[in-house]
Amino acid sequence: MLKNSIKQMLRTPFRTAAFLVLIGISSLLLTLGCNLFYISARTQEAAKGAFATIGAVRQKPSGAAREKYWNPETGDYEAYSVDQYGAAIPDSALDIEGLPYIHKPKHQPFYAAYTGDYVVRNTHSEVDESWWGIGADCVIAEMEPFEDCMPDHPVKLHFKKSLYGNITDRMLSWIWFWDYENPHPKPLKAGQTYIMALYMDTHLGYSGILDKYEGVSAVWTPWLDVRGSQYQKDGTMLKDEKHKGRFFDQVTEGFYETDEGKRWLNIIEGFTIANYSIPVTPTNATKLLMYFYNGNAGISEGRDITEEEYASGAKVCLVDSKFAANNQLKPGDKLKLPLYYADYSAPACYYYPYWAERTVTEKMITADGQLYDVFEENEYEIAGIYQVTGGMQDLTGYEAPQNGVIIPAASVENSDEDNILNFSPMKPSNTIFQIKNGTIDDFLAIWEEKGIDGLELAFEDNGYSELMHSFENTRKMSVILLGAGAGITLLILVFFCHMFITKQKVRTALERSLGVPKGKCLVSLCGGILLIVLIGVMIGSSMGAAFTKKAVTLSDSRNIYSSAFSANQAAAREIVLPEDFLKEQHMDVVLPCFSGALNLTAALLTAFLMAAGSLKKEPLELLSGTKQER
Amino acid sequence: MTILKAEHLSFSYRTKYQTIHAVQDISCEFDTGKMYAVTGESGSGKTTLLSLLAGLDLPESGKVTVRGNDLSQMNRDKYRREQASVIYQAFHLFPMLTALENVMFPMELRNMKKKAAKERAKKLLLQVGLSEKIFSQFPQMMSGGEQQRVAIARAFASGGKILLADEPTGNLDTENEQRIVDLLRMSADERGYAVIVITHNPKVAARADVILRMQDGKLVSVC
Repeated sequence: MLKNSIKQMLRTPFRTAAFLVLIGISSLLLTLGCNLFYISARTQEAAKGAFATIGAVRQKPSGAAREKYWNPETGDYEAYSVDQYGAAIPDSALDIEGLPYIHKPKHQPFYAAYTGDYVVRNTHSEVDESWWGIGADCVIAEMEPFEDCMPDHPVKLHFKKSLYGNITDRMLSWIWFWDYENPHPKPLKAGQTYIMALYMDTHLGYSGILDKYEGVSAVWTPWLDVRGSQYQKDGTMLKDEKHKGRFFDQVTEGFYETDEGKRWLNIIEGFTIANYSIPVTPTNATKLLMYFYNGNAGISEGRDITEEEYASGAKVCLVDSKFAANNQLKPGDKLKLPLYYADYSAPACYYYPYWAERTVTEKMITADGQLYDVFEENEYEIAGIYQVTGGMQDLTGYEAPQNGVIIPAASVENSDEDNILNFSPMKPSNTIFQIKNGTIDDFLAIWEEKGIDGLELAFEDNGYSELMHSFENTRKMSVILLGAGAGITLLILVFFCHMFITKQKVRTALERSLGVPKGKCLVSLCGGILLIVLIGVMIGSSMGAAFTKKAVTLSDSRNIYSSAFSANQAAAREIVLPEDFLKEQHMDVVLPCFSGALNLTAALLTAFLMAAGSLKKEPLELLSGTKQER
Repeated sequence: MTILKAEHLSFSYRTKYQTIHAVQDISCEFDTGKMYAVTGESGSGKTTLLSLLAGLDLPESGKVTVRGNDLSQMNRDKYRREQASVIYQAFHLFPMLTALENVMFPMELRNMKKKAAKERAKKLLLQVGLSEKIFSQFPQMMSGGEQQRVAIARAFASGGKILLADEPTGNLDTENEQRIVDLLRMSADERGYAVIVITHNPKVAARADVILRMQDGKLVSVC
């Protein structure tokens, strides 16, 4: 009967050819629609994994205060404005029910770990090692005036003993000293020894201020006072007014046994420790660190810290590749990290710049002049090594620090409350959180209703929203194509089934009256149609698959999206589908087969429904006339 | 020999407005080698009776027996393939098949080899007075008389001994009418068919051995 069915269809070649062509076109549309829908859905999924939406918190200043400083050039005080923040708002203020957090905001410090046994020198620096550390022009030394003097102008001091810095290497036996920025300098006495922290102020020479002093080409000025630096957990500074502005002390017999003498020695030891320290960044997710988020760093060896490890506070870490190379460290090795202070203010990259020399400007002593004790000491297993990419950049606060180590925040078990060297209210460089992709508007709506004043939020999704919008458009287009394909297919099927089946009622009745069983009649009616549909579907679907492949090849299956984070941080994201995406998913086979199967099913249903309608008719009713005529 | 027997056949169907009792308690017998004419006005139940005899419908009551077997218990498709053939006023050939293919159709249904079916179809077409040039023609290229002769050849091809004809000359001119009636007569006389012809035409009825007259679904006379 199938042969007979095909034979009869071929006796109307134009109609059959038109049916074949139209079914082919509808299959092509259907396959294309299916493929586009699938690709957009897959890419959307891939994008969801590749993107992260993060927010940054900044405490807004509550006002501004006028402060003044002595300007020796004008000989007068000058005023300047300083932002006032009042009490620091804790990060728990952002813990509001309903906010779609993945990682809640955490005002994170960076910790300094003393690693005396490790090579921490920035080996890619050109600076000579003997000059490395606190800076080439900073010293702590014992000095003696040649004569009684008031250092309100350059005065000659005899260099007696270097306690810290490189003045010895400079072969200096005396220097010019000027307490330049002090409106009320203290007199110095000949024959007395003073301990001073000095730096060579090149600005005075360049600016011509020294021109009126004959023979004076370089002057050393006070570098730092001996005030300690310590904060409480709530951000309150432990004041040390007694030592404010105290730039030098007279060294007498037994001075270094006194509290003041010990304070100087602690400052010196603190600098030494600091020079062999590395910055340890605690976080709840690697992507919360901007250098990872922006793609400026990536795991080059080993693996990332897992979500479970972050959550459980596992003693695992990620290590900067240069630090790892300098110390022959590899994934699986152990790294001892004695943490001795926390800095809640500046990002680590300010003190440990990746592309520049390490600088130390803070004194590592408490408000009562003591060295900071180690508050936490753990051995971490190196999970992975990360590499910082890109060249030297301007410091914005979001860069990777030199010799950086990243640890799960929860792995630090002891409180750092007595070891806070520096503190500032929450700001983007130290308070970042992550929310679910595509929920910025929801977040802001809840924040608008339940949030508090005094905090400023900024979000970055690296273009996720725009990307999703574009995917949505592609999806809509594919749905339209699918709908059009399905609609056209149905119309074509209904029309041609009507031509080949319903209009062949008499043929059916005749077959029935000749004793052809209903099943064979069905085959006779539908067989040829289904064969044509099968051929059309195979051709159309193959063409649809080929068109899709061409389209995917043209777009290279990669889409690059970029946007900018605050502080002019350019960022780029690449949605990379797997190289063998097409092959892996068998998209070129499965989807055309799927759309073809869809088409065939529709053809089967339509043909069978119409054939069933024809088979229901009484053969004689059709062949002999109406029932009334019986 | 009685090949087909109707016993107390009744059949009714519903239209939109009423129930039509198309056949009411009809009993009759049909022998091989005889030609029967069923006459009656339109709506008298002739075609319904034919449908019941062809096994296209089943009676509400009564039964049709074929060589003593109850048709309702038989495979009715097989009955039509192998024992009974129907020809129609409008000829009803397959429009997409040639004359030869139309005649081959019932034989292919019975799984006869194509070559043998073709040979027999040619013979049958020649026997009903058609020339070879008709063999490859499609129905729409033939005259009414030619089409009806192809239909008769197709009926012979089924190989049974019952030939049911529904107004076979209704669309034909006098000359062709005469030819077809001759063929039907020949079918009974020479081939031994039980030929049952439904007709309004008295000339056709006059050629029959037995005339059954129907009125309002009932058999009113047999002569």
